[in-house]
Amino acid sequence: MKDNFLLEVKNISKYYPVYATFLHIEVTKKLVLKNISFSLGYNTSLGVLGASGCGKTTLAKLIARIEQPDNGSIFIEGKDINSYTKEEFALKVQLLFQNPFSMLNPKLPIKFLLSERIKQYFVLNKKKVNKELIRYKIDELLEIAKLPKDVLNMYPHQLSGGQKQRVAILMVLTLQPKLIILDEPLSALDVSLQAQMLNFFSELKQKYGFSYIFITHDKNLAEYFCDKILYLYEGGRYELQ
Amino acid sequence: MITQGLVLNIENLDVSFDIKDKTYFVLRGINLELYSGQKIAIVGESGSGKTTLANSVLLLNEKKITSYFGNIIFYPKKENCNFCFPKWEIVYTEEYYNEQTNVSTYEVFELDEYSMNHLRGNHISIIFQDPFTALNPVIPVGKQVEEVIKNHNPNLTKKDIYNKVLDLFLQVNLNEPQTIYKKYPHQLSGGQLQRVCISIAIANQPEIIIADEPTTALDAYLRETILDLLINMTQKYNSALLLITHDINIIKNYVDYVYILYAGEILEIASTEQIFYNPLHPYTQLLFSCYADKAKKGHKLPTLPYELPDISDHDFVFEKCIFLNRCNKKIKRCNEGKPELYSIKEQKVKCFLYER
Repeated sequence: MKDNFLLEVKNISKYYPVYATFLHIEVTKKLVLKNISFSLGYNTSLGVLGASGCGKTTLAKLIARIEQPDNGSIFIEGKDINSYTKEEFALKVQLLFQNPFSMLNPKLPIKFLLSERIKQYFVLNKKKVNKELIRYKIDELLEIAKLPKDVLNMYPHQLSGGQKQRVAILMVLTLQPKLIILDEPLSALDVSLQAQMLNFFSELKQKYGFSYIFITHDKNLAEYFCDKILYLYEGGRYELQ
Repeated sequence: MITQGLVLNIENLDVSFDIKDKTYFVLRGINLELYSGQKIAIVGESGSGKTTLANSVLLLNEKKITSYFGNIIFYPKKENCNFCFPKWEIVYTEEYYNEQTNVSTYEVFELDEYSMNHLRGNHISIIFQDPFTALNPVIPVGKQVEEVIKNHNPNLTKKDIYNKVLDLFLQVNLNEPQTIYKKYPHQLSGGQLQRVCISIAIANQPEIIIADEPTTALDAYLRETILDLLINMTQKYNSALLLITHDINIIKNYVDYVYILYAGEILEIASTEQIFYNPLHPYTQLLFSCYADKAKKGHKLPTLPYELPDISDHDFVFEKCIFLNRCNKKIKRCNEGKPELYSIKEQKVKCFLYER
């Protein structure tokens, strides 16, 4: 195994069972991904483009270990993803979804959400943590995201769309993962906010040096934002540019 | 069958909300004409008043806090509607001029709830942003479509209505309509639910369909399919479409005219071709420059500076250009007053740069 790749995907295939309408019997299998292989280096980015139902989100789920492939295997830093413990894996790969609201617990204020994540980071890295350190870290995060301090005592529903998305990104970043998978994170925002988020994310990438996989349906956005683009087609074909 | 002609005329519409001793001037001086078969998009950022405009046409804004001023007039075009007048004044403002004191007083009339219920769903229907909350979770979806037909066509038999619902489901590409009929909203996917909402909207073949961000709550992959369907349905019945959206790119192939709404005012009106080819207002130009593409790779994207202006500030809102604090093409004249909508060829633009 070469160690200079962050992510290596080797010949993965995925089928979904198709059930009969009346009796719940498996009739056939639908092929979603077929023998896909690619690799991703450190501090680079990959855009995933394709039409509806061609397996973009499935690919994300496989890499994030939410589902298992039928064939092939996925390696992160040279190790099979299944050989990591849950805690170790949390520090390697994180997912960011289309709807930031679904990531934020509506009953908890932002301060609590962020401090929980910071605690988690220190616990996973087996370091000691105290209140002051958490406070310092939160201030640092707010400064990075250019969010006002009032946000801390607010609940998710009180934030605007852009602010919510920023908090969601901060929550993902506090764990300092090596790879972030972005599943259509911008499609619910208006253009000006989209541009703001893209700039914000580019700044963060320079600062923290992570890689990301950007799933989108917008070709222009992928071309602007990513180094390489993976086109997925129906029936499992793919093309890497 | 819907005949040709003007269906909706909005004249100088102001809408304001009174919340906690403060008045928010949400819409100001809106003028809009809609003809049958025409497709218009209203584009603006979040918070610019798009949804309020859509809700005003059906008087769906919260009654206690909303005050209207101006006219919203609807001209029915259905040939077989016995109940209808030649025109409905949904909101109507009458001026009383006192000759002795030289002062005009105004009185605003709103259409009563009974007449509004005749219009809603029958002549003007609306598709909401989120199909998950638009439908009742404890009633099967088929029954909910049935309700709309039953309310406006009391003479139809049960069997006719049932068949009509199945037919509607087939029209919006919902396969196996009998199965879908019995399903509850939580058993259907987002795309299927939005199709059900569209079938409710077209059930009575209305003159106007208002689609309030119909694709925002859906996966990005589904957007084009749903928009295609919506456009096909409006063309089939010759209905007018008022499409409300924040994404100017998705409407490119779908609408005839675009209205750019910003903080409650219309800043530019143009045909879709013109707005993509030659946007005039600095705001529209900025909006377009925010889009990412390959040519801008490696560069920072331009963004709109600052936030939307405070629309409760009466003096600023009524006496200054609303885009003043974010504009990058300010001239001396901008601080002196409020621009009007100036006509440049076929486009209309509210900016002092185009004053003659």
